[in-house]
Amino acid sequence: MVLKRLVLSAVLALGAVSQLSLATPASALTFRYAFQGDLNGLDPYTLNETFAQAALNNIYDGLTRRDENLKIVPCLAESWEVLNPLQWRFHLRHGVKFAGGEDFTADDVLFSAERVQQPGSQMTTKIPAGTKVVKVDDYTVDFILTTPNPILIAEWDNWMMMSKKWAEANGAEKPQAASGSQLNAFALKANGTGPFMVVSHEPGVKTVYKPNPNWWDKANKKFNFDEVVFTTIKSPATRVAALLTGEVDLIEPVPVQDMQRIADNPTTSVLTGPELRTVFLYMDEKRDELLYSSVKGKNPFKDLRVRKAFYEAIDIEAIKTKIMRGLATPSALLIAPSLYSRSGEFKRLPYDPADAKKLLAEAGYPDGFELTMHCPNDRYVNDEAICQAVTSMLAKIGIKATLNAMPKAVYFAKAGPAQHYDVSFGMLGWTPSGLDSWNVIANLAGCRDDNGVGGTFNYGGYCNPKVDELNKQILVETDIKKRDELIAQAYKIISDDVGLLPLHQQALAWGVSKKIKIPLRSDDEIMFYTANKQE
Amino acid sequence: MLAFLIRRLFEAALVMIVVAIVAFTLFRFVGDPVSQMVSQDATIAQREALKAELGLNDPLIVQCAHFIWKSLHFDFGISYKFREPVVNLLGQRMPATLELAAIASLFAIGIGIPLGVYTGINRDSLLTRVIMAGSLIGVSLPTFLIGILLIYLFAVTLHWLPSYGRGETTSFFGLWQTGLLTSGGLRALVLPAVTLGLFQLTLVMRLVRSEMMEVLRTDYIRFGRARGLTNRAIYFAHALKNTLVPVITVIGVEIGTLIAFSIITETVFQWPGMGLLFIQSVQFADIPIMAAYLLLSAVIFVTLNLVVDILYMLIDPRIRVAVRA
Amino acid sequence: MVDSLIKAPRSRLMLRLDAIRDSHLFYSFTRSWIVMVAAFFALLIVAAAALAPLIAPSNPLDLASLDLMNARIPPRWLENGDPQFLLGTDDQGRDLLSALLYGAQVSIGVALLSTVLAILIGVTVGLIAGYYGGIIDTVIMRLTDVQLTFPAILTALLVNGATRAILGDRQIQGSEFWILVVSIALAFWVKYARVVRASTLQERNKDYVHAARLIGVKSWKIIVHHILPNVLGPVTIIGTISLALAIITEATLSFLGVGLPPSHPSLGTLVQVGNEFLMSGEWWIVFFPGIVLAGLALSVNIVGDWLRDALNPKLR
Repeated sequence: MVLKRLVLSAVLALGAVSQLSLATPASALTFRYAFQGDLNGLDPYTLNETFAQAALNNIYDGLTRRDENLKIVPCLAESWEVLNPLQWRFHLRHGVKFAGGEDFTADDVLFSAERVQQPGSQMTTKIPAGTKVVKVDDYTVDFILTTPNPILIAEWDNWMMMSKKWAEANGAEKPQAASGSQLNAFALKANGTGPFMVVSHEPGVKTVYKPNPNWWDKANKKFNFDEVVFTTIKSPATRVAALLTGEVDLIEPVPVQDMQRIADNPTTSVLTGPELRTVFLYMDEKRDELLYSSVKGKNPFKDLRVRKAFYEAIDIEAIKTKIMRGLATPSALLIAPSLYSRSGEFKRLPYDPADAKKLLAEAGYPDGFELTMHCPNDRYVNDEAICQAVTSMLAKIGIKATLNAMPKAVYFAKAGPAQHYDVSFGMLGWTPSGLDSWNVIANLAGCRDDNGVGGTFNYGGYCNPKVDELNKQILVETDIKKRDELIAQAYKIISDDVGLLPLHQQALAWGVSKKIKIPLRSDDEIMFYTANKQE
Repeated sequence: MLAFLIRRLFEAALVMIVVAIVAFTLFRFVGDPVSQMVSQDATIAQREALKAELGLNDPLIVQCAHFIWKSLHFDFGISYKFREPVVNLLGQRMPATLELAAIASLFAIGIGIPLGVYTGINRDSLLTRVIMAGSLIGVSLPTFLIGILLIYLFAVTLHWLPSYGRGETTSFFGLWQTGLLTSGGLRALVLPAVTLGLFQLTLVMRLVRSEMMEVLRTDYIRFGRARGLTNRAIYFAHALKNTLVPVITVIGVEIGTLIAFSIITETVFQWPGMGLLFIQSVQFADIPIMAAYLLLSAVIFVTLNLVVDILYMLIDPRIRVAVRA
Repeated sequence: MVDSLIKAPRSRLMLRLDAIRDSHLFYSFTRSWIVMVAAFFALLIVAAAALAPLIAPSNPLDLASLDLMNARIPPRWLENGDPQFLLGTDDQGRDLLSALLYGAQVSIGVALLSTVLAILIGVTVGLIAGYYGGIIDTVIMRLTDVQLTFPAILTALLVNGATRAILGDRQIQGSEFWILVVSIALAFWVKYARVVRASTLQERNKDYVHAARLIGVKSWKIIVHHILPNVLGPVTIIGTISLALAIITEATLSFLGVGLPPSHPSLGTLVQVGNEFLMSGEWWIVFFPGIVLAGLALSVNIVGDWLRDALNPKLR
């Protein structure tokens, strides 16, 4: 009796579920997208991370913005002029309102400039130290610099304008501090001038946006949906499944192994393009003895022949075809070709394991040596697989490299300044914010001390004072041609020194539903206000 | 009776303090929260300042005592990662996990008891053998593999059910997001609940089965048969009723296990519950969340154990007598 | 006295619960051939794993022998298969059959060693608690209460993370295997401790132990010679059944990213790595390790089951 009742209710429950599945979806047009990571907070100054900045760029505007081809175009500043190398003047757009209804004026620029420099901000470098921001009138602002800076506005698309009035009314004048029980209004709410506003934000789960009725640029509106839902889906297989079943319209990143399947599926496709991030390997060239190696008393990486042997041992084409499935561009430089006009002049060293072995023998290591390689396993496309492949390629020239792959949270702490560069050989990827060579050379190849003063992201500690000297000139040189020549000289020195081992620019890939039209941006920013959905 | 209760409560409190100390000490060393929070270009001085601000330079004892004191007031601090009070985050995530665990238990009970009864009565039938073998295969596969297989089969290939998340949810007074009231929410529950409940289903089935078999061997059932009671009366009025007390108790204890095992299920299905939050925070070395999660799961387990103890005392006359004496 | 009475029914329930959770009853004639097949399969895998260096076509741990250009070749009998690789290759060009054999060796090693370690810890603690009683017993049992607060997988995760943090990155190199063994052992020892304590309590109060004590036999002698042999029965049964659980726990830890590294893969790591290729058509990378893993766990379960029933006359 009980049994029968139980079976009956189970059958009924199943029936109810399958019937419910026939119900029609809601009528509002919704754009849904999923990313592997979380949107950590809504304060635009607290996290300097590509994904978060892109998500917030749909809500906030900068004085400038970058169009689909990443060209700098006016945004909240209608125009600007360089009065003299130390004084830039910006003319603000009239009639712009924040989502909360406040007018956008010069006071908000001054407020944003002050707020972005506060403790807790990760965006302090958006404005060079010592810069004075002066209000000329309600719609004109001057920036007075201490040294000339031709790339002042290069990163300003991600310096987002915040409302002074709203911040003061909500007690959010300062960026969210790391601790303390007082919660900042901007962490969970957003109030920008951009095309969208946030309806709800559940950290680590989902964020719902709807169009901002006060948007100033409605004349150029491209999107047609009434709602955007962002979800975090960490597992690659689940993310792909969600796209294939039509539960989401866009996923990022697409696991390279599943691209074919997504492309073959009738309702989905893959958008691919070159990404601006360059992935490379670094070697500890600073210490007198490596931390993780069988060689004692000396550092083999101080020998150019050893560095060259490592370079020649790497079969970049095999990595490209087998691991990246063709979705990578081998690189000779630490910067993407589209970001530097003279990239074509530089060529990779050829893959030549025989010569590599010879070089090692000449350097005094005919039998190779042992070494540990450190890699992140959740940061770049197939990062761990690439590192594994590198260890087996090195094994062929006698280098016994043991791979230690770890989550990025642990890896960047260990390999970076926080733990005084506790690595000997490892992987890193870099997209220069500002999309310029100066940033690359300064961060990745500038001399540094053990605490990271200098080239903070120069994990290997490569140092050539000539490069530093050139980069100083690059920063202040305003003549494009001369500047490019200086950059070429710097890259030439780094390449000749084999200071770092560039691998490739990984391809950018978004999996999209065919209902969606969205331009792929090579800075990997999903600007959903540029998208369009056909039902 | 009262003395017993007080004693058990005292022990439970002791357990909680040990758990709190263990949780705090372990997690203090797992990651480096500072480098997660500062910008890429932060200087050493800025890092040190942040370290001081977070209290990471204080002696461990001080940090720990501080932590316990605050935990008692439900103040688990602000998540390093989400920059939101941990208690809010857990509050947001808890309904998802509790609903998942509840549905998984229902699934385990609703299918496990009938199967247990059937296989207990028909000990050697072909169907019994098939069921027993099938359940054995179910528990021999790792949970994550089962989850992925279910997604592959029911979401990707057959397009019957969603592959991730909770689907549509409805809010009760802004306090409790439920997925039980919409078709999308219910459909989203099916695969994760089955994945999570499979293990418990096997457990319940086998428990009912063995209890049934044991009860059916007892004298009073034999006596019942001798009196000429029908099989149905014997099976359901007497045998099953006798098996239910241990089954209910076991299920009570097992709910705690379900909540812990939801870490894996939630990871596979991107189910926005506490388990997923826990794994996310482990990867981020988000100490406040991890510590709070551990304390919370300890509270759940200790409470369940306490309830089971008390239930047993109420049920088993031997203990009642002993306590009175 | 009151306390032990209160404890008794609960631990009886817990024992039954544990026994059933880990065991899978098979009855009478169904048992015979299934158990035989299972035992044969388990032995086959164990033997193959033990002999891996001799019978594997290549050594997957020798990085120099890998060629990336051989990556993702399907099994031999399929289109594009290569006679050199019977079961195909993984994403690094590793021969899958060899990787399976070496992986099984690691998995079985972790499972066996962690079970042995758990038994060592559990039996020692249980004997001490049961024999001496009093404050020692109370403290130990409260500690096991604390440990039981956390499910095994959570404990293993915690111990694993803590060990890694304490050892520091440098000592971890190559010690992942032992970290896994320790974390799984520390997650499972409580079970043995409780069983052994309960049996010891019973034995301690028997006349022969009292007599031995009276004539001045040393405590450790009584424990080793009289009590230990009597508690080993249940320990063996639980141990066999726990093996399967240890195998699954190892795989799960690998899935969560704290298991063995892909350069020295266990079956769990192979499944985890292969999982990424489930949707892309390269099914063999996850299929074969998955089958071997599930088959191994299943057959060990069945054998353990049979052992339990064979040694437990009440259920016959």
